[in-house]
Amino acid sequence: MGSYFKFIAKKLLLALLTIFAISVFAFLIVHLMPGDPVRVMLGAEADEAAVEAMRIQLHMDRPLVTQYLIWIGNIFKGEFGKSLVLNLSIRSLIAERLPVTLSLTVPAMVISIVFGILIGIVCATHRGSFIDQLLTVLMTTMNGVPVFWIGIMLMYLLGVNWKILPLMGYVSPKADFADYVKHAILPVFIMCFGPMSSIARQVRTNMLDVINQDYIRTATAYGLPVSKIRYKYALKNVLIPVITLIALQIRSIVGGSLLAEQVFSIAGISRLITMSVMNNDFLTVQALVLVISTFVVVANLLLDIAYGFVDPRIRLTGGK
Amino acid sequence: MTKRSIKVQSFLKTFFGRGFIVYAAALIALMFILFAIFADVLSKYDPNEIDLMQSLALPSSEHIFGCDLHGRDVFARILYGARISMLISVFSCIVGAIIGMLLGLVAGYREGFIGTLIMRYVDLQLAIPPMLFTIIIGMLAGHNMFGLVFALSFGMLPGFIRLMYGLVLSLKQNDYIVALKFARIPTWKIILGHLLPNAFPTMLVTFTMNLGSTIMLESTLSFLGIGIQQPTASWGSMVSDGYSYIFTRPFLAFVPGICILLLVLSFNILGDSLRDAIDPRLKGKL
Repeated sequence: MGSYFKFIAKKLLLALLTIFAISVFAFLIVHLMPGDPVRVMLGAEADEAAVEAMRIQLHMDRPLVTQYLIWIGNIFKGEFGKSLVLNLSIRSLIAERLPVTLSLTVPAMVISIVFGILIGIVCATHRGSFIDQLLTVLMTTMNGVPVFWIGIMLMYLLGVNWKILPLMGYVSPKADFADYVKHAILPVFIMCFGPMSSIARQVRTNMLDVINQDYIRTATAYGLPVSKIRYKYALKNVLIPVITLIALQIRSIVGGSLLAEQVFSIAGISRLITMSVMNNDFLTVQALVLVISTFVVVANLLLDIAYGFVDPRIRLTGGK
Repeated sequence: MTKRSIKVQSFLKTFFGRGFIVYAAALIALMFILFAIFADVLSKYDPNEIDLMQSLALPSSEHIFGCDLHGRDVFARILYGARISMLISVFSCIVGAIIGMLLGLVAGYREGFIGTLIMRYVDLQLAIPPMLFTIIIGMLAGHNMFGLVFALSFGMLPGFIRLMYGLVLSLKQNDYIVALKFARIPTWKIILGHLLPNAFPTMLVTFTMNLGSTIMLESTLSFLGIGIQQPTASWGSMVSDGYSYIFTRPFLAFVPGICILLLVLSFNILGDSLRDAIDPRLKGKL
């Protein structure tokens, strides 16, 4: 068990370093901007005195390192500053919008994982059959479809034409669960596109690889039932590498959520990013980059720890 | 038959091995490339010319895909949009591939401090969700075409660096490279004459496969309003514009979306076929 704790400690340290590096990157966003960031934030018409006042309020007159320390210190206290465009505290914006985004991305992730694995297994065990070809074509297509467009088209078909789903918007699951489901179906569906097809293709490849290995052939030669070989012996080795892939998909679902929230006018965190970027609201962008990336790093850390738990080989090699 | 022509023949045989679907993909890709090149010949309309008399005109023999809110011919905008999409994607991929290959080469060949630095940077960039990263870089570089190319190529760096790094690490273990080093052949000669030619096929395949995803990313950013700005025609922003008239003119959003779908899919299929034809061992790896 000692090696496992060493493995966890190593991963934890690496995650902390990554979060630190991301915080530096997020902090520098304001300073990497060509031109005077305060001027861009306040607009060209703002008078010199206001710009100067803002500069002092943001501590921009101090050395860079001091600025970083003040900024990160405030974040530890939970103070992210104020959004210049919405004129609201960034903390309350995040607190209000994060649950919305999570209530859509988490179901999308779970559905992608479950169906991705199922489709991959079906394809591999029916290799070359009609169903395999059909699903493979479907997965390839899903990877090449502009999801924002498919979202709009589905909305047109199901919302405008057939009127079976609400057009857009969001209802909290706490307020009215049935209504939440109705509103969430399309956004969650389009967020599944990328992750589900990637997972399905990976599972299919892994399963085909594993089925051809010696220990499976030996088990077959012993006359063990096919279902036991497939789902007990083979599946374990198929699913372990999928954990790494899931970690990758957590990153890409952030992209999916940017689109889903834009298409269906959902007031979540991702919509806030798009808005802040378009309005040059650096302070909000900075805070969101840090929060979202930290979220992703922590999720990846947990997956890494789980990976080491289910596969002892990983602990020793460090997951390379 | 010469050895070369046999090689070409077997290449073509594997390339078109999957039959109909590859022919269709090649045909569609060719069609859009011709659209992009001959946009001004194929349409008599200026894609940015505003004609309010034709605002939201339905498809007719004059305007085969109708007109948008400002009375701009949708077909003309599709053609010029193809030009913009492909130019930006190809250009970004070239820039991203060259810089990525170079950094990967340095990291893999030199290893040591510089190598570690480059690879740690890659890890860091990958820790930030890719789309978020691209958007932020786009914002920093400015909301214009240059900023978009910069952001797109920056975003794809980690992929190229990692691939090249891995290739160089394994290639330089080969006996003939070690022998060249002992023979005191200059490093640049080893790199240009031996490492790069060996890494080239894999890189070419990755490049082609990246084209499709870059076109997708470009249209996604333009859809979000972060990429190409009005009035320049881009398929992504056309979908976004058409979205406002989804109740009355659904084809305004439908047509550019179908174009993105067809072009991205055909590039993806051609990329897969190229991979199988150049090096079948890469299947499942790339």
